[in-house]
Amino acid sequence: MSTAWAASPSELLMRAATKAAGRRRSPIRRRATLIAGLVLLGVAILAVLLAPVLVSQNPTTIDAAHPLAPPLAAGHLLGTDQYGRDILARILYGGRIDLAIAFGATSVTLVGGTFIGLVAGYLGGRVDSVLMRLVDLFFAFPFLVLIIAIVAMLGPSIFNMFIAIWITSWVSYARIMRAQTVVAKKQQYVLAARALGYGPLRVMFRHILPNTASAVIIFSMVDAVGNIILAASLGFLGLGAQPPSPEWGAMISDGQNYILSSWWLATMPGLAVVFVGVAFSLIGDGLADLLRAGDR
Amino acid sequence: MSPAARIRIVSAGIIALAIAAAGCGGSATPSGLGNSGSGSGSSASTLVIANAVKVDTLDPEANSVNESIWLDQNLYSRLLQPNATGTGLLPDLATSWTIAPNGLTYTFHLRPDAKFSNGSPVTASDVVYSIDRSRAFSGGWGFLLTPVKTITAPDAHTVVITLSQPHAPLLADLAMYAYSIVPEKLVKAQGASFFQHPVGSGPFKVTSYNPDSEVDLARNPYFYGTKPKISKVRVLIVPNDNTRVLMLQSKKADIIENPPGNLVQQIDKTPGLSVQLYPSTRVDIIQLDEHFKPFKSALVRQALNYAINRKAIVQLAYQGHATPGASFMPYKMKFYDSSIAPYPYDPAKAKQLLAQAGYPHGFNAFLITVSGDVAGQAEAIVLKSELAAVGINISIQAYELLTAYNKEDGGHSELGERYWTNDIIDPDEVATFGADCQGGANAFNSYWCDSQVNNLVAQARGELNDSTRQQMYNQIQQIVYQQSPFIVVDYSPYRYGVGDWVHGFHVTPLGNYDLSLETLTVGSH
Amino acid sequence: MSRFGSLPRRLVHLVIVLFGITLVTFFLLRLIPGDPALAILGSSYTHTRAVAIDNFLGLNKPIWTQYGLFMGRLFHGNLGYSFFYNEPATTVIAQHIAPTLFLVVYSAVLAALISFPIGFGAGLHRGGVLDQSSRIFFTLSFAMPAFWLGIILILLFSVHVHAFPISGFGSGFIGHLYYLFLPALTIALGFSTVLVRSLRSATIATLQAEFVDTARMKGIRWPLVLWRHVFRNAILAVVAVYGVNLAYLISGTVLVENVFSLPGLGTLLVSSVSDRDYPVVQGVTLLFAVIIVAINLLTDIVQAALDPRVGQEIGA
Repeated sequence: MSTAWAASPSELLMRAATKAAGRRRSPIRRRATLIAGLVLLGVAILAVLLAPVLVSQNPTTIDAAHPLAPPLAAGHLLGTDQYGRDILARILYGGRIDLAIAFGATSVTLVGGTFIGLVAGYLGGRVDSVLMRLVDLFFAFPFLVLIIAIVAMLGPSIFNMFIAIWITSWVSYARIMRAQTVVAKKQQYVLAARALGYGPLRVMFRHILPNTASAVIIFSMVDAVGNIILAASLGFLGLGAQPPSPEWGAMISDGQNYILSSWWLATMPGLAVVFVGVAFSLIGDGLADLLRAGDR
Repeated sequence: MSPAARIRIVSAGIIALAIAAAGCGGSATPSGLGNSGSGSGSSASTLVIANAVKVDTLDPEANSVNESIWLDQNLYSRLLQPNATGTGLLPDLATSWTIAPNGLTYTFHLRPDAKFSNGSPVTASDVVYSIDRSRAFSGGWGFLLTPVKTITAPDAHTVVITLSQPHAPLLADLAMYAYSIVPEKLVKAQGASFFQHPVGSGPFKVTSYNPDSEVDLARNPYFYGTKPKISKVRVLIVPNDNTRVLMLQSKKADIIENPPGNLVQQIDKTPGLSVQLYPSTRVDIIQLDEHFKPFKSALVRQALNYAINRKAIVQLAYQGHATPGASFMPYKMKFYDSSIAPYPYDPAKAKQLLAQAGYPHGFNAFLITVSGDVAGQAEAIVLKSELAAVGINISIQAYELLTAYNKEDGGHSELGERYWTNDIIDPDEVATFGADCQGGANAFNSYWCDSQVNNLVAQARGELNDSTRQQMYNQIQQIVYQQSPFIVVDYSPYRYGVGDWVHGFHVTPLGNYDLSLETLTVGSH
Repeated sequence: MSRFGSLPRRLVHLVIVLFGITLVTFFLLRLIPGDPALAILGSSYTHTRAVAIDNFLGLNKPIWTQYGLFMGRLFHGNLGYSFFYNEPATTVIAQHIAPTLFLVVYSAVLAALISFPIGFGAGLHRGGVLDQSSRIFFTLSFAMPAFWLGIILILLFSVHVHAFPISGFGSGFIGHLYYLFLPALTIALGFSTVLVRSLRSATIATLQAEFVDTARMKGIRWPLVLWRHVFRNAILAVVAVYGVNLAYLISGTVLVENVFSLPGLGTLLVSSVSDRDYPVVQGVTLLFAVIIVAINLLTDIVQAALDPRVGQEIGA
């Protein structure tokens, strides 16, 4: 952006025109971030699916003879943990759990929360009031207490972690969707659809939803990262996946005890979280870029 | 100025004020750790101990956290105290005592020079008040003193206790932290707030009390015993394991509680530091719930004992710093039967016993463990593989601490990791909880019942002759060993990281610092 | 409709929400296996002792009676006695507020200091070095779990290089600033990611807005246009994001407090749940809820004050 002083009006108009033109970058460049994110995520998914091919070791086999081997030790690219278990194997198999959480937990909350937000925003009035108060309640409740309670009651396991995340994470979607719906329902296309006599369900799902979905979809990418970190946090607190499960958060938590002597136990799974998190972030960013550019 | 800018400035001002207000929290603000980032954190007459768990209260009748119990023992006195090895009792406030021949009356003679840290004398009426108070506390330790009929103070330096029946553990009970002596007048006047700034007759007094971050002690000028050589003790609460170790390594702490097992070697190798192991009364067990059908059979329980390689568990879970377990009583405590040897590791025999019991192909079971318990998790992993070798397939379930305990206690569990520590040096407590199915704990939640053992426990409780008592406890230990209602895995010691500049630190099997805080010195470092 | 929507109605809703939270917490706690008696007695647990403790703590009464008593006390500002500390629960909580409050404000300020210049600069020079490098940096830092990042920072800056203390709260205002720098930085980095992204988008959008061109055509100097129009409006767009994330931040301090051994509210919450210290859990949960709801409300009010269009949607 130039720092030129105010020039003549015509010059400014010219600049405005070039600005508009310049924004049309090549389709590939515009989608660079999105593509990068998808590639990274693809690599992660392939890696965890092909785990048995990529590593020969089992993630839970104890090898008492080679505990705490540093990275690049013979046969252990990322080293071993305190029981001699190969860390790369644990990361790849553990990735199945964490990616399952990223997809499984997020998709349910995305659908559920969006639905609730849509209904609340469209119907307004009492329904909206009640639903939004419920959202406020969940929002204000320290999720940690809720999750500790849920897990303590149901027992720590991966499935119960899903339940805990489903119960607590839908609120953000509901909020976003409601805000979007409230604005959307005053728009021309909705008023037109209603004037045409379309019922509320059809208006909500065939008109409003497609036009407002971008916000929640982009948020879901952020949320996916958040859910992985949440799962890792639960594993860290001992509330999620249980031994000998190689979930990344539990690995970081275990590794914390060894941080002063064998740093790789906690660092490697952390890097795995970062890798997948970056992938989702880039996808989210890429989608946001794409959709914003599309708005112009 | 634009409205937005005005709002920003005002909010910045509010935030700044909030920070300033929080920072100047004065007495409400914990003082944190260390006053500067440079050099050591203690001078030669101050001892800095970093503990792993916060203190709950300094009220002896209500303590439930070990770390606060150990503080109690430096702040208050009791009639008697355990000796350094935890096998006998020494005088404390009571310099001598006599027991009537029928064992129903105890007369204690108090030392006349005992004073509280505010200078007022410790009288027999304080003793009576303190013991009665603690006895009456709901759910407290009054049950230990069930046979006590009356406690009276015929004069200022004599306390008389009468019993309804002979009670061998009485002296050990009175040496317990729950029966610490507090000043009657002050406690009555101040109530619960007294314990924010307690007054006791022990070697130290509290100068600052922040149960979550730091408790400071100073020498009690009126203490009747050996005046401590150090003038101050700072007890820091540092729950994070790594942080505690770093504090020892940077000399910000002189002693740290329970360094993690995997760092023991590293600390030992550091010049000037070492890890000290002190024998404890801790017994690590695996509870076996007889509501689970296979465990009703003594053959199965014995088979489990043979299937376990205790040495491997000790190695993996405790880096070799524990002793394979035999008798259910804590290691080398009074009346411990050292003739009992740990079950040998014999998987073949285990399989044979299982077949004999009707389980030639083993069975499936679940093991409850505590999540976050590093040693316990290691033990569980070893157990799983060892039991699998004889056909018993264990699934490990880890729960948050109290959830795990709750599940282990209810009669619906199978295997469960648990441990026991003594509160008194007398065997009556562990026998009641672990061997007597009527004792209130269902024999460590096994629901195993042996009426002979129950009778022996009751008899031994009332037997004042030591050698007769020893016979009875030997018999109890033998039966429990053979019947094995639960598996005794190992005895694990207390672990402390200590700087070499500290001379004379000692921990008794009950976990407290004994008299060592009086005699120890802190050199320059 | 008034600019602030229906504020009184919002406040009523607020009270309902808080009431709902105390109710849910009350019953949720009692559903968790293990009770205060088990917490107190541990391995010396017997049924007789447990019953005595229950009687003493009033836990043997019918549950609705307990709830009624609790709410009655609550209206007088009394949370009851902490089962664990034998002190009033309000005292216990008050002793833990300072570290958390300091940490949250410190993180919020640090986050603003980091993200405002970077976000604004990245939006201003879109595609430039600052933009590209900050995107990479913040994408990476966002994906790092806070507790992991904290551990790494400790390793780097406290252990290998003795630049900062390992843990603790310090004493005095400057002491706090020093001791809490690493924990605040840990939180601020995560917080900043969202802020930078938001501010960058808002800056780009504002720069393209008509009123900016109008201002320039009117002859106003560019730096002044930047400051008065672009920056101001971009910040506006970020207020909502800042507020929402600040609210999240508060309940998220738990893990950071754990890693840095800070005796704050987060640590207290986790430990009091573990100890089944019901009065303290109720108190901390309520306090968190009040703070979060207050921040949300404040954010909405500030937004409505700055932008009338938004106010109409708030009053629902």
